[in-house]
Amino acid sequence: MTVSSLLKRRRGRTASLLPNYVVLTLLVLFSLLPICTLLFNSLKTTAESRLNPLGLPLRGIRWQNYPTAWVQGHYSTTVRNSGIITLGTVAGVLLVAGLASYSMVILDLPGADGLVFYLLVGSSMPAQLFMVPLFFLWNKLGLTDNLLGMIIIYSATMSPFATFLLRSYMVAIPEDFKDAARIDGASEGQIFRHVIVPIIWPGFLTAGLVAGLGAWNEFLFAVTFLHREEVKPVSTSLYAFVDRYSTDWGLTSAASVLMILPVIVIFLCLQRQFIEGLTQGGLKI
Amino acid sequence: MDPKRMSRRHFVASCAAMATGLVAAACAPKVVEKIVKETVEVEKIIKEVVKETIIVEGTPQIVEKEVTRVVKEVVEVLAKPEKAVISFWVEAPSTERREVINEVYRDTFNAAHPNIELELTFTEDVDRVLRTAMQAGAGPDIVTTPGAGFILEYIIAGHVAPLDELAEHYGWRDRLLPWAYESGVVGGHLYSLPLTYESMVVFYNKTLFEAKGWGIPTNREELDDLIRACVADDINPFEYTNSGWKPATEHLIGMFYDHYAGADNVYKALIGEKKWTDDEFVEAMALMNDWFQKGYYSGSIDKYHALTGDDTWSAVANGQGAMQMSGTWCFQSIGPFFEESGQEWDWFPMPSLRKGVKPVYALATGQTESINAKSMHQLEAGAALDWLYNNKRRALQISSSFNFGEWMVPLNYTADDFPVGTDPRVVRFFVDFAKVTGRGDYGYTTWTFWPAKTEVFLWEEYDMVLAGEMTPAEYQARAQELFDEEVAEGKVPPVPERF
Amino acid sequence: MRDRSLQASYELKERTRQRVWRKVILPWLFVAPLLLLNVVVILGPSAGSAYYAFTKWSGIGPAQWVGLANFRRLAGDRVYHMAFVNNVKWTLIFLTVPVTMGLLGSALLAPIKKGQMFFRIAYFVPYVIASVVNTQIWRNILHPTRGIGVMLAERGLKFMDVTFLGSRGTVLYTIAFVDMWHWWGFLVVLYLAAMQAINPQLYEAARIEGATRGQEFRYVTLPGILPTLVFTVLMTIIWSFLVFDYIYLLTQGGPAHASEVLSTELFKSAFFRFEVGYAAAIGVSMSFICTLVVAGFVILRRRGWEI
Repeated sequence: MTVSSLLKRRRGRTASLLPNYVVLTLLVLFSLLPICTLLFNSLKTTAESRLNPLGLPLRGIRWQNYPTAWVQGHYSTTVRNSGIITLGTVAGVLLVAGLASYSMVILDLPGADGLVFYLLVGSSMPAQLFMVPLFFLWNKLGLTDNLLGMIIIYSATMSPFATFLLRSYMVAIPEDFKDAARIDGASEGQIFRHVIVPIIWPGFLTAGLVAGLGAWNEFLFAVTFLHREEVKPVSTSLYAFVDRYSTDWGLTSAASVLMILPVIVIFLCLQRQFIEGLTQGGLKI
Repeated sequence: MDPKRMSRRHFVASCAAMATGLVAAACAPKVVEKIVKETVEVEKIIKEVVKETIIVEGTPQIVEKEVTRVVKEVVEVLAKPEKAVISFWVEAPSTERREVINEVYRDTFNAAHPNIELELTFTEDVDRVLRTAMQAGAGPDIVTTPGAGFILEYIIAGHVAPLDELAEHYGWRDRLLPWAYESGVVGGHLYSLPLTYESMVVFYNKTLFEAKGWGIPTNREELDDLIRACVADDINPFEYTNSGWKPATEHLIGMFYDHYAGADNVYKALIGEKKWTDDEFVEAMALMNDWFQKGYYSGSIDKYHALTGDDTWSAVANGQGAMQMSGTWCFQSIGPFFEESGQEWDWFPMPSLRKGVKPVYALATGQTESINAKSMHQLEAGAALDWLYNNKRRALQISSSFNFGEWMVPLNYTADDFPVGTDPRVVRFFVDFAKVTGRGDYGYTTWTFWPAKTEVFLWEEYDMVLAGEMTPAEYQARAQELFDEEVAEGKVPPVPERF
Repeated sequence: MRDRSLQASYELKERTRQRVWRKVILPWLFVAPLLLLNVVVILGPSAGSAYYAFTKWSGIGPAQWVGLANFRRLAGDRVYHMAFVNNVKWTLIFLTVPVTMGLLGSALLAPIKKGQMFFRIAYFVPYVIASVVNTQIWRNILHPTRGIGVMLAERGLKFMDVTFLGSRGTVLYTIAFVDMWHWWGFLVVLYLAAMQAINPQLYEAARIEGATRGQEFRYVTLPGILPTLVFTVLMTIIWSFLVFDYIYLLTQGGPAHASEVLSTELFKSAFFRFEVGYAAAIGVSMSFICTLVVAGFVILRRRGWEI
């Protein structure tokens, strides 16, 4: 019995879900229509993008914008770079945050409060504050202009948030499951694999998604630490592109779409497992 | 290998020997070491600590500086010397222009100097990125800064090397426009060379003017009449914006200073003989504010803050706006807008805004180039720099890809130097500019001649004047405060003497 | 006899050591990578910057010690005050609007089975898009002469003809709106996931007791997602004081500091005015404020709030 079916059964007695659908659909329009303007613009000619900034491309569809943007924006290089940085960051963050949150919740870390406080204070440091000394340090270590250097930085900046996120998922694990499993004689490892993982799996996905997104979209550090053409990520590349080709709104819109497309595709793929992860595991009664 | 001390014959001989050596090495690497050894005169760089006197605002300051001396040494060099790699960071233009720069500048240089590899790195936000790198001691061999006010800091900290000997060897003083050369001289030593120069003019929609029967204003009254006519016809007299480039306001500020207060007065204020709080400066800013409040710029102050640069050009190109007071860097972008609208553009020099003040062309350098004091290859970097300035045709070829809006190295051009088919409006500007400024008539732009903190204050806080939160008098007073601070710190860039 | 007691004490020590290992050392080992990363990348350099807060430094050349001068200047700096007030306004906006919309969206969405995934994805999409792109989209939509405001004004809604990003009165709220549009969907997904982790038996119990929908929400749902809710509130406050991207990309704090926030002031001080010492002081003040907020939460937690 899932939560939603329970609620649905109950609802079936009283009001229908129509008002829900209405409001939710309005919200969908709110979320998606602005993005549609981007899509429309990406197919317009330069002239039309100036005359008709919000509507459908009426004066002909210029598919050419996309290949042009790809080539002019050096996307083959930048997408590769961003991909490496993102995957590295996700791996790093999930590993580091997973270990830490597991320790704090399941292993009952002594002094966890202090750690929480420290992490929160750490995430309240404005990036601009430590950017310059960090550059000094990175330079000495040879990590500037370097994808690995970027991965380390992003892992460090995103791990605290991921740790908290995973913690809040783990905290919600009912103690009885764990105790029951322990009574049955399961080892820590088995408990981990068969009780905890299924429950916190969506948490990992969300944390991974947030970390990956952060890495893909991040801009300020990228523009400061990565200079050489060969290591530039998509975010800085797009920024420059928009600036350089500001007159051709159609082209820059296409370039923008190219940047967000991989993220949306991956998100759509992960969404399914995200749901499945919830229906598996210990929610069955 | 330094061409400076070697005679050309020796240089060619060395090159030939090297080439032979390279070929031999390609065929039989092991053999080379034994057979070919070329004795080559090489320069060695020696750093000395010297006490120098820098004159700042009349009070000599004695500063200890590290001066590089060049000493000739004869060293045995193997026929296949290691390539010196020079890094040069430049603000990134569009891809096509990058290709032109790479081809016409970098590749020709590398071809002519087989033992030097010039590496151009195109990066956005080059000023901030480079500064961060310099702070970490990791800057490139050739250092770019946005202007004289900024290079001064590097000079005082000893981060850039003096270029006097290189200048002497290559004869830069004679090749560059005099004021351009002087802009890089601090305390008697040359530290930087401008990469591009520009000035301020008034662009206008020629088709519109002709249709309305408007003439080009040559003085304040005519300009006022013209503005009135525009307003009557529901046309914005000027189109401008600071939304895309916040410092844009300083373009206008400089023009008002030069053309209302007068370039002579600006000069005096820069060297401390006058105060920025004097009436003419306050009135200049008040006049500018007045025009803004009346909506002469883009129709309203709010729009000034929100439109994009493209919007403003679009408006002028379509006749919704009449003029745009801006810099000659616009040459590189103005064309397409007018092509689209099918109308004609042209420019006229900004007229004087007050009786007794002579109109001028303001001087502006776009970027300066210096050599990193920590560079291991200062002589090679010097050669790379010289390559920018030693051939007018090549220089103009690069600049033409920007329609002469950028990479316009300040050499003494004549109309004939420009490639055939160059826009006559552009040629007209550069020729007139050289003529007028050559006889000493020029104005000052804030980013070239003002010290950094004051300059940033000027464009950043003028918004407050526009918002009514600060009066022009308060604005000028604060500017004077900051200026005095920077004078005391020795941070005011050198101002060439005014004839 | 002696042997046995020796054996016993040895075993006791061994067990204690194992316990210490299991209860103290192992957990901290797990946490070590996080701490190491954090110290090297964030804390160390921040401490370095904090040192610069007590100096006058342009970034090039030596730094000159000036003690508390920068902080005294902060106290009297009008722009700093304006920025601080803007941060507070931003925090209040983000604590109310997106959180409410997030709760509303997830509450409306939770009972829906058909198409739930579609809605979820739709709301999340803006969050997925980089700030560089989002600001472009909205700058286009809110254009002063071609944008939606003008279009609506032409069709009768005269009051919509506002220069959203150029007028001092509206600019901060406009940027907040854009950032909120981007952020809200994330909260929906977060709250929804938390809601779906609530033990359905609790809903059963509530239904048996005859609770209305509203009461269900108040007594089952909200407490059930309280940890997540509190977490988002905390992060919202901290991130509101650190907010940078959207403001920098859209207006850089203008016009006339109407959208200035502490981080843009920091950025401009360091990189445009070359006052690194002053910038560091601003940064330290921001961290201090956030630390106060965090301390508040820790105190609450000690009082039994499960966060």
